[in-house]
Amino acid sequence: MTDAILSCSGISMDFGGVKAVDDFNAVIGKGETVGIIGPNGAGKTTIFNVFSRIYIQTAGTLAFNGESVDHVDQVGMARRGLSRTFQNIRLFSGLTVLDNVKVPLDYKGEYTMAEAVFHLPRRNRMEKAVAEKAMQTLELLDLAKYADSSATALPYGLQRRVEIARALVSEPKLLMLDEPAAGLNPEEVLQLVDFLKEIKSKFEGIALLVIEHRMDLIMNLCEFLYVQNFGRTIAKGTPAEIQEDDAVLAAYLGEENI
Amino acid sequence: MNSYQLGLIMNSCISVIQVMGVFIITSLAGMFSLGQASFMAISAYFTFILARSLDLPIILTAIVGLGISALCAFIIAIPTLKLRKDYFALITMGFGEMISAIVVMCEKYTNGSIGYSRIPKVEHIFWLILAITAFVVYFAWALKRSRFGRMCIALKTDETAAKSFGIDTYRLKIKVFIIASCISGLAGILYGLKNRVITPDGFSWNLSAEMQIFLFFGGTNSLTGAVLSAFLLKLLPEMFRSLELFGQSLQVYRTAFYCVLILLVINFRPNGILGEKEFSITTVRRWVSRLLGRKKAEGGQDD
Repeated sequence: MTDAILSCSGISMDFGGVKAVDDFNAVIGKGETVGIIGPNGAGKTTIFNVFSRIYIQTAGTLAFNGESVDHVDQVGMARRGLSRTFQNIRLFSGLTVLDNVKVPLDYKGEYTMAEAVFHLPRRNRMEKAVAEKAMQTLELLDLAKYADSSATALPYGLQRRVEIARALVSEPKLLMLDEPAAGLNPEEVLQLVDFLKEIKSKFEGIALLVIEHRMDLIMNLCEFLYVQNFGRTIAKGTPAEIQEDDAVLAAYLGEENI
Repeated sequence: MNSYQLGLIMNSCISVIQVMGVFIITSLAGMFSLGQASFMAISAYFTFILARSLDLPIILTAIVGLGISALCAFIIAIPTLKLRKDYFALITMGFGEMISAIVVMCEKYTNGSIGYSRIPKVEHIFWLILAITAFVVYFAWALKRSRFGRMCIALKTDETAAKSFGIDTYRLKIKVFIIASCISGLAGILYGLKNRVITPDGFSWNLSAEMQIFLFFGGTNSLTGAVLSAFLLKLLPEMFRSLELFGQSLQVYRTAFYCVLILLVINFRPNGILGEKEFSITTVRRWVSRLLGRKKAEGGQDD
């Protein structure tokens, strides 16, 4: 087995009296593709928010790349190499597509504010490098021709792609996609699967964690699945195993006999 | 140009500098400060009192004055910027009132509400103000186009998303607030040098609010709009000073006029007159070529 990029044990998240996630355990290996599926309200996005440290779990421990990250905040987690997209698209509306994709590279920019203001050589060199990197990522997602348009003026499907580009540009170790196929038609879903497989070959060692409702995507893409219902894990295994699992069928299709 | 007209232009330039300070806080980082006038007061009072009492050149004490503004900004920023945005607006407003009160209280040094007027005369004040205005506008423009500008706009539109891309929003906000306060302080010093007298009333809450009004009028995301509206809205009321309505100068109705203007802008152009549009060479070129193209087409029809 490969090393784990992210592992968690006994993760619980309460909001007042509501247990959104109850005792979640998972291990994601380097370069693996893992899916979390489950009906609405099963706590999938909450798990993402705990992993990216928007929420701090009420119980349980979390480790990233072999290091305990229980006390790391959102910024620290991003800087360690975890990147994500959002279920409700959250692009930066005041910026162009290209600038949106540049943002994840900006915190590690090496030029100072004085250099920025006086357009000194290092500023220009770094800006050029950042622009090139962002442009490459856009080309990878076939978005180059939209580079200068306003991000939020694009159609929904393209905005999703821009979000993926923005999450990929920093070459994360773990990329988390929150319902990447929402609002796409079946043909686009197949394209997305191909594209995500291409990413895995281009970015060596990148692990993917995907939340999805669309079975066509999940079954084609993921090597391992966790099935959530009402905050609990009701099944885990390979896609083939999950398709045969009684508890999963019950959760999705209702009980067989009453 | 006579000295009255030069004075008007200098006032407008100082207004542009003030609005640039607010632009950096509000338009770039999305924070709403209602106390920027107090930083003008801090810098101006420290600069001129130190220059007088220690007999130092203005340029030295101005640096000290700006430094003290920066320090004050840093001290209020540390606890306040952890709070939600609306609390930040409230606390900056309270800070502004506090500074006015302190100026009145320390009568011994500041001459209280009568105003401090022992301000040295500076040669070529017009060109000095013009040059500093140009530099400050350039500064804001360069900042907006750099990685800092992008991070600020990301922070403004979605703080959670910005954090999830590794941007330390708390430190960024502190930085931005300090820079903006230094710019406000600069405006305060120039204001003092130009008018040769500073009073606590001159740096009251009205002035802080006026800066925000100018900014919103011009366009919350447009540097061009902010500069134009800061310059023109300061200048136009003066031009109508001689006009009379109901036996009083139009100047008296200025506040009412601003209010109507703001209501109209918020109703019909919620993003300000210019919205997100920026002046750039390419846009101008496009306009010119479009104009020329139209002329050619018209010429063709004539033939």
